[in-house]
Amino acid sequence: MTVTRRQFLKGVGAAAGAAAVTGVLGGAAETVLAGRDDPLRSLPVDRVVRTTCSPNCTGSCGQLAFVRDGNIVKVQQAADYPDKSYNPRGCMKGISYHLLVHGPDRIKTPLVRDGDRGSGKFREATWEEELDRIASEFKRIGAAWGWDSIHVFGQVPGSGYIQKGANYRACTALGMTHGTSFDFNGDLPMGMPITFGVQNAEHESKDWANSRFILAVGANPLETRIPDAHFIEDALEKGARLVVVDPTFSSTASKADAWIKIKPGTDAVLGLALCRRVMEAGKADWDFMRTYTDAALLVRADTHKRLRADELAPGQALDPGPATGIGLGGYGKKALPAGTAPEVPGAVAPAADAPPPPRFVVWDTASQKPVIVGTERLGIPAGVDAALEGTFTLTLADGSQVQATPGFALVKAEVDAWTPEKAAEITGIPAEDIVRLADAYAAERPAAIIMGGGSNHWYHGDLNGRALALLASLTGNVGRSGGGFSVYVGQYKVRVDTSPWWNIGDHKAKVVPSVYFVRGRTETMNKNVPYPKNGFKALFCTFANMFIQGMDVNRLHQTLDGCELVVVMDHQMTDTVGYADIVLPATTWYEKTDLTATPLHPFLQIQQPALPPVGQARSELWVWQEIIKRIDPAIFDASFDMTEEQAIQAILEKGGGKGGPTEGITLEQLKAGPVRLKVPDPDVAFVRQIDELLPFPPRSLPAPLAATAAFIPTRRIEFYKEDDRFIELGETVPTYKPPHDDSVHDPAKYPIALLSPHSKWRIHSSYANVAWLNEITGGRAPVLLAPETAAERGIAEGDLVELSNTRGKVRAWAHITKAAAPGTATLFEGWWSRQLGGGKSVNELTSSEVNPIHEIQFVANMWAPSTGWKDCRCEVTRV
Amino acid sequence: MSDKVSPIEALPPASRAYGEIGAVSADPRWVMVVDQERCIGCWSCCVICKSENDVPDGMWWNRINTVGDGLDTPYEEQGRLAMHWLPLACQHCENPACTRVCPVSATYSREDGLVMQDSQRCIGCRYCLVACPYGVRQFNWGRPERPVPFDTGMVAPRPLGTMEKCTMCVHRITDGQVPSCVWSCPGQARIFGDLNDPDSKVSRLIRDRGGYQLLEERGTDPHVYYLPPRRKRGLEP
Repeated sequence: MTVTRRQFLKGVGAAAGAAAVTGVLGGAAETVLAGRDDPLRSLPVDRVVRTTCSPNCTGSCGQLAFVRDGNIVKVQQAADYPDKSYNPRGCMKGISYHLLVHGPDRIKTPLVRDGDRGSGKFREATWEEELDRIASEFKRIGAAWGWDSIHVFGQVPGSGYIQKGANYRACTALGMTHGTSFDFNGDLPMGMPITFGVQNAEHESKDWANSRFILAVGANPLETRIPDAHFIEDALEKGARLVVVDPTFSSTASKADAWIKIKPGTDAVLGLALCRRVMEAGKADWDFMRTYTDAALLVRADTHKRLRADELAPGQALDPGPATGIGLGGYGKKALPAGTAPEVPGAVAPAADAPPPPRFVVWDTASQKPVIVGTERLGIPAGVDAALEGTFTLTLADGSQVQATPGFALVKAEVDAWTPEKAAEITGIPAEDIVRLADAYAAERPAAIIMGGGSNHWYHGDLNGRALALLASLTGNVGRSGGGFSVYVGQYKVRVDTSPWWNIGDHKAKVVPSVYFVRGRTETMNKNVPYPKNGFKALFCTFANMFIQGMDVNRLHQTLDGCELVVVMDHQMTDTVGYADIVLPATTWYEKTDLTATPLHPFLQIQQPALPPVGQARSELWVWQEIIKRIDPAIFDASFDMTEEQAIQAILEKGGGKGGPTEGITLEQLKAGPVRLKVPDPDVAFVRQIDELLPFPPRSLPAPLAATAAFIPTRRIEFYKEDDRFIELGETVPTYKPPHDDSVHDPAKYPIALLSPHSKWRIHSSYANVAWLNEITGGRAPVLLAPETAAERGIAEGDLVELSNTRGKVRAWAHITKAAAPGTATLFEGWWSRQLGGGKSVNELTSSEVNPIHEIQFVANMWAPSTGWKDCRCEVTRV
Repeated sequence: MSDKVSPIEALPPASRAYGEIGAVSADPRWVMVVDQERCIGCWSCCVICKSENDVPDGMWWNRINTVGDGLDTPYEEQGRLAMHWLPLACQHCENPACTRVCPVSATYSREDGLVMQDSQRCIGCRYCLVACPYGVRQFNWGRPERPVPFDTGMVAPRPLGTMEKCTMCVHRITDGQVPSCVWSCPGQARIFGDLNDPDSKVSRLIRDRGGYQLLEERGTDPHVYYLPPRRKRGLEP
């Protein structure tokens, strides 16, 4: 046999394989091909189906489901991306998904609570019974309390525009409030809307390979971006340098040229100190700052507001006319000739009675005069030497005089205060390392900053982001392939215009940030939040383990206690399911049709069923169709008598016009595999702003451009913020504030910073029950403690320990390691309660405090309360 | 014959092309190169191995050893923390210890360098388990159990009381496809190919990147080569 096999192995190309076997084995070929008993051939299957893994990890990885006798017997990466650098794309979790599809925790039948809420006692029910009850209860609650008192909570829509979109559409149709995910998850990097006027914007992950220097701050892509991590290695192979800033020695730190160990919650200090050193070393890119940012725009000393041109006495300022900005130092190389306003994608003509857009003022040191700068395009008028420092006296329209200073002078005053020595005191990083890091970062272009949840998930995460955005801008790395400031958090991105599916005509769902579901309205809540007038009376929770995975869960459970109906739709028997009144068995993505995309790569993909629904499982769309039929058949007929494929078609058509993201993309193509959206290659944030002097921001779908453009009235990168609340709270410029929980939990009594990062073994709480993965990890929750922290408390390896603060407590087992920083405890989020030594989850302790800065504006998931999971103090004791 | 199809034949064209071994010499000698710099310790190779080969609960043909102080835990070296990973499966030795001790020739070498295990011949004496210096051989002590109520993967399960181990996915090589761990490595850290072709990617990597074999001094001459992690540059200019 050996010789025979070797002979046909000579012609081992795949297509040749079968022919070679036939040729060599002759009459035995049929037996061999049948494969059943030949250990040298694969066992046959019924079919192989290409679909997309989509559990809110941002991976959006193509997978193949191998189906045999009605079961998925293997899941493996499709590895079919036309851009081969993306292959194979997919991780150990995604390829073990069939263990969840067919595993012991799978919910296969409708269930109705048969005991106290939370007792976990259920009886099997029929769909008829459940749907009738939901419909009648919704009608009763809607009549008694208002339909907005019914809250629908799903997860990030990027992981499934159609099925999760069905939730939005149902809210649109019935007037229920929809919850949020991106802000609720703390992933919304508030530094981005504040600075750039966007929800978020990032480089596709393959662009990491084009970097000369990668600075990862609170980011652990080796564990949390497994399909993308190799692009970092690609950069390193080409000679780039990787520096990881993290309190904990992470897997990513293990690959780094330098690991910068930082005290938790002090990233802004490092960012500011790096900016200071970049300027001090003469490495700042002032052309970039003048061309693209608000650095030169004057700010009034009396009001702290930006000076508007129409406030000045007539004739005082030079007016070069509209759209006269040019790129300095060679920037704006693809801009139209000066005087021509570029066409801004997504912009709609203002109403006839709309006020004219504001115009701002810079100080020209050449002519010693103020010069008017509009918002039609970026840049500075030719010949103007815009001051970045100094104080100037101007005359206002009423004849009074006012002092004004370039916004950057105010930024610089703050930055200059952060000497390496002062920064060292707060961050714990040696001053010389801060200087060396700044010099190394500034020496290379392009240099990328990757900010992760470890830096973003703080009450003041926006300040961390603003400081790092300033660093990227000061070094001219924004809008440059291989550079940039990217925050990778959450599969939030709506890459295609989903309005034909989520909306009904002009009607949109009312969206309430779900943090208000947890803690009720705040005093500072934005008036535009459609908070239900009678509070929340019912919850419909789909594909989310909200009741242990929401922050501050004990408070969340108080809201739940006030709900008259709790419906949970899921396919696994999670902790959250245990608190439901009604449990709806959901299909997994191997049993339904959907459309997905992610921030990490620009490929549009569909999910298509490999199997019929397991048991009585059904999709979200089917469930809403059935509920709506029972509530009002007319709504069903008008708006819900659609298939998933029709919804996909509608979205493709909407964005399929000339230059649209789905131009030329068909459902047939998507059925065959991934299709790259019509975006530049590589897909890099802000390229058109930088190259064409287009005003910021690019549009953040699905919001209209005007909604997010209002975040940055200058239409430039804004480092100076003039809204009253920024002024009141002392956050007009990038600065540092200590962790918020220090003011809630006295560090003397709660000396431990509790970190609850994402685990490589789970996507939040999904995959926590995959048997194979639990064989690797042991399947029970460790708490990482530094040897000093453990010794002070008499804790030994493997001891059961309790983490507690005023919000709650949780128990898990000590793992003592120098990877953990002294004074921290790390309990990776996402363990199910049965894998802990007690308590619901780490989120008994985490905070739901709302930062009023996040309430200045309100666009759901774009400028909204972003929560601070890592901003949490506790004490650790041995049980 | 049933209307079932070969899982290789059933692959979509782009996926099938991705997995092709490609051109090899007239007399291929299969080797696996594992790049420890690119390995991110994610265990995807181990999980797909378990899935592909229907490896029962509690057994791993392929596993990731953390070169450190426990799973994903660094060790301290000269005051610095360090960690990397060592994926470990059958080394498919040129001079295997296992084949020499097997009393029934259930384990044997093929001319292409692969070390095979014949479940039908195996008598479960476990001499090979003791002899293997790499500790990669697995024994079916009890009735194989799985997390799902059916056999997974693309090969038949092995009987109670027999040895099993990595086959280099020989059932895939037969059809011209790389082993599943190579396919599924998100770090692109595994490269499979023909050592007899001096211009193959594996031959070049072993030459250029200092490819080494585990326990070289034992003279087992594995067909699995490792590329060591790179030297870190620090913050120096």
